[in-house]
Amino acid sequence: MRVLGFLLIGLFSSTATQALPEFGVVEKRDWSFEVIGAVPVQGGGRVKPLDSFAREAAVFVTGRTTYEGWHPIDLVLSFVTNPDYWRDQRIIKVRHKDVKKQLLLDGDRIDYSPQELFSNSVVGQYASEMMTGETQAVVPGEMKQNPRENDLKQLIQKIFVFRQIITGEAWLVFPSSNPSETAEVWGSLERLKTNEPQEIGSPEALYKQLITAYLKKDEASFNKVSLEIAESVGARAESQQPGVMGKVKAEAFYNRFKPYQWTWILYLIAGLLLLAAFVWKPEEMTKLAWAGLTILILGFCMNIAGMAVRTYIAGRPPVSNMYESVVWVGFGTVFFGLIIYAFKRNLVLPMTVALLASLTLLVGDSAPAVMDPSIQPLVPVLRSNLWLTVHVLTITISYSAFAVAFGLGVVTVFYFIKNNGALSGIRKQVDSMNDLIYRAIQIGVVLLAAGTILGGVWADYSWGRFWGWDPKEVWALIALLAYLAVLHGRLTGWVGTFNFSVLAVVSFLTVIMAWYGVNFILGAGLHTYGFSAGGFSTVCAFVGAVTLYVGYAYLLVLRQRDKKSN
Amino acid sequence: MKKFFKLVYQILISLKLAVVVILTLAAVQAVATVIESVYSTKAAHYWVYGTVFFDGLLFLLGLNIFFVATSRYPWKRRHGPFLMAHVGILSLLFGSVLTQKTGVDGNLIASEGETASRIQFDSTVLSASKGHLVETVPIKWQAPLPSWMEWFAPLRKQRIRLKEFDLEVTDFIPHAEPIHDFEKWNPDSKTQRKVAPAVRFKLKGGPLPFSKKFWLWAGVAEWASLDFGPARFDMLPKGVPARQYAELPLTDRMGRFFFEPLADGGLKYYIVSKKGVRPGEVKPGKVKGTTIDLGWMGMQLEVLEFFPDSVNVSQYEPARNQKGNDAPPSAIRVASLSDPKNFIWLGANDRGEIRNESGEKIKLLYGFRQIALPFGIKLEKFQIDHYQGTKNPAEYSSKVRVSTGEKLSDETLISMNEPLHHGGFTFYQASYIPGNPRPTTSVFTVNKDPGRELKYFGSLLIVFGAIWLFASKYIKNKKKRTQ
Repeated sequence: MRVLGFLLIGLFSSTATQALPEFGVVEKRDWSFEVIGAVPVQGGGRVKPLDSFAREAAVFVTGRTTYEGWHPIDLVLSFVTNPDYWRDQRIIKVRHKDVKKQLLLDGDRIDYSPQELFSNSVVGQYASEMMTGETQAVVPGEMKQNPRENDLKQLIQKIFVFRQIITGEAWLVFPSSNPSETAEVWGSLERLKTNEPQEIGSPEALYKQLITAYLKKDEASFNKVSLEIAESVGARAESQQPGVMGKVKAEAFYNRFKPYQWTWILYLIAGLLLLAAFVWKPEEMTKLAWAGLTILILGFCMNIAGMAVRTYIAGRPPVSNMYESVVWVGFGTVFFGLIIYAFKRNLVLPMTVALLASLTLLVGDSAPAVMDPSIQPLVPVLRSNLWLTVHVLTITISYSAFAVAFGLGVVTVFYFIKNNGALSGIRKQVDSMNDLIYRAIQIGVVLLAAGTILGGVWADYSWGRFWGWDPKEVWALIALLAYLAVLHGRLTGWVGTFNFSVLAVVSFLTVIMAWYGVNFILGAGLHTYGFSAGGFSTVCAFVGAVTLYVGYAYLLVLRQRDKKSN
Repeated sequence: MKKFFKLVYQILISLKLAVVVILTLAAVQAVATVIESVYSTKAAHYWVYGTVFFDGLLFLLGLNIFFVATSRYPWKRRHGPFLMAHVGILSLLFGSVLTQKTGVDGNLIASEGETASRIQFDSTVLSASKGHLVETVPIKWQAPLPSWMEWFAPLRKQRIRLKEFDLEVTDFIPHAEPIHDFEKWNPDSKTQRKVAPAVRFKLKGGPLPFSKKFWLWAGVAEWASLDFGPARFDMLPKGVPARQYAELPLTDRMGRFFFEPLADGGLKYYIVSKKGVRPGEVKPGKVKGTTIDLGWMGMQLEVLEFFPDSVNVSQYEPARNQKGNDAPPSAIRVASLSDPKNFIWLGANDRGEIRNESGEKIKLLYGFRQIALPFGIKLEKFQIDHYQGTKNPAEYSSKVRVSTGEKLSDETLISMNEPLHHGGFTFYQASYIPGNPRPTTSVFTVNKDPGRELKYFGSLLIVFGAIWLFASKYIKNKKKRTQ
């Protein structure tokens, strides 16, 4: 029997939306939004502060946390109070060429207004198609999708989300006082559209006051009402789900404080101080070096604190997405750097790891549209499983060990470049560096092997297959094999002193591929990577820089050898 | 000759071979992941993971490790960690071979209240039957060829024959799309096919423009009805009065429509709506082009084609979409060996009929390979929990009982990460089939893995061996330095 759900077509095409009252010129408010930001709302399957809701919405729709300098809360409040204005602003980006072609969009620009997309009949058709196939069963290992379809789906979701924000539907701000299984647990802002009188002091009435204060640009009363909302809604949310307010407050604080931003700043300062100390007196523990080390440890503590708060908020260890793994790898890099440093006092270690970790966290912090920093609930297969946690943490921390080897390799290659490609004169330094690299690679190999095997155990335990040639597992294996080849190659004598440092750098590219590439390049399909906005150009630049750097050093070394043989 | 063996032995015990094999493995796998990304998981298995070449590489790695390990005999204490890690790899490899050769890995699909006992696999088979005579042949999936490799096509053509039935599989399309078509039956044609009435129509007016044209054919159940949810259209075989069906309660549908072909070539129809049953009739010869008012939100039905006697001439062609895991499934063409013009196309899970020279019906099924379990799994209830306020599933689980003969076991819960073990098989909650208002069909992964213990044992050896190996080197270095 062929089943077609045609009634859903048309649901989407009606763009007329009843909106909340609106007036005035649309402009930014330079307020702090701190109080209202801590008010609990429901979204994406969990209760979170309004600040997180606004951030996620702003990033999802516009691709940036602060769209043209708008505070995210300001932006979403402006959306809901001035929908007609925002409908005509080009706030949604469509980058994928094929998607544009498919939607018959004007090809020369990448930013479109919601209205253009609402009135696009092709979008409507795809949206209805999407809705008919809404809940698709997920079979482990078969979650991959065509990149164009993915982008199209995401675009349609963006339009949906924008619509739901301007209609108030997305704002699940009213916790019901007596939730039962049938009634909705949280009511939306749409409730304000009815003309029924609201009980004075009820959340509904308070939100109405809030919006009025926002429109009148009355900051004082806006803050006053915010405080009242925080109290009344907070109390209800807490009675509905005891303990939730602690997490909401922690999350609001986390959003405001930005522990990871502090972490990379501290790492950067530490790295620069240590670099200065190292250039000045490499063999000695100067005051400068001590200062650098102290700041590095401070940053390390901040890194741990950030992860701890995030773990508390999410109720699970930080292993679910790229962003969390970036932070974790940054932590691991410093961790291994400090451990090896405890055994081998070489200033080059803390210096390298501080700069490397700073760079890692900076990258993680600066691309919210690529690496989603929001806290999301896990899909069923990944829920509450010890092995999952252990295996992901083990594999990603092995990347940290390889990152340390990479950083040390870069420094060692630099020695060669400085010495014009010759080994004589720097032998001692290079040998001690290679010794450190060897340690780091060993740690990485043991952890990657253990993590990959644990992954097999986890997959076997929950899916019934130890190994399924899934690209993610295969690339983890390829990285492992690459490093094993380096270690064995050194035993055979094929890999000499210079080559070992070079391979420590080059092998890290397999880690980049296993870590980033599988999700963002292979996952998106090789043939379209040019267009997808996945930070691909950044990674390409990184790979290119590494290749040039190593290639240049190689040329110098070859020239030295030629000289010698002449 | 002796020299040759010595050379081979020298190569096998060399570490350089290990480096070469490791690098080759890494490179080949990298290529496989690219194939998987561009084409599909199946294609990566077809071109790389499932090939003799890849097995050979792994075998060579195992052989190399084995020879390197034995060449160090008699072993000293310092060989301990090295042996441990490398015996671990051998054990892991051997366990994998056992899993591949003797293991079972398939799916079991069960609906609530139903007892399921057939495991379904990914691989396809063609089975033909005539009375008690049954023959089943495996059909190996072959990846689509990129255009620059088309010259390869004749070289890999499968020759599959059903000896008992004088039939042959003449074509295989890895990702196929059906071209549905029905044509008027020619009574003089020698080719024997199923004959049944067919109608082609389109819907006009109403709330939305519908450009699609639909076929209904009374020959098989899959083609006899078209269900949109709120509305349903049925084609009945000749001589079956539709009235009895039309008078059944509508339940929650907006309407139903029945076509009843008459013996004289005319067409009777019944439109069922909330208001009741409205019959109508069109005289023979005037059916084509008739427009019928349905009375549901101003919709009309236009008959585009009507054959009181028609045959299914649907074919398959390579689908436009040959890439990605969502590319459509395969199709085959089965033809009679003695009369190549007598053929039938079968898509995945299609049933069909073909007649042999003496006019006897041969039933065909192109489906997935299945095996029967010695017991059944009865699904009592499938449960799905969502994250608060969303449609995202947080957890799904199935309450099941194991049925052996007449006996039913106690109820057990299979949930994500909590499988059921019974009779050497393990049942995992894999997914479910979406349903309205709630899904009631659960999909389990069924698995039997005789290599499991070996793999686990090998894993332990590898990890602890590697730790020991690196730690002992560190200690050794330290000793050297202190001396």
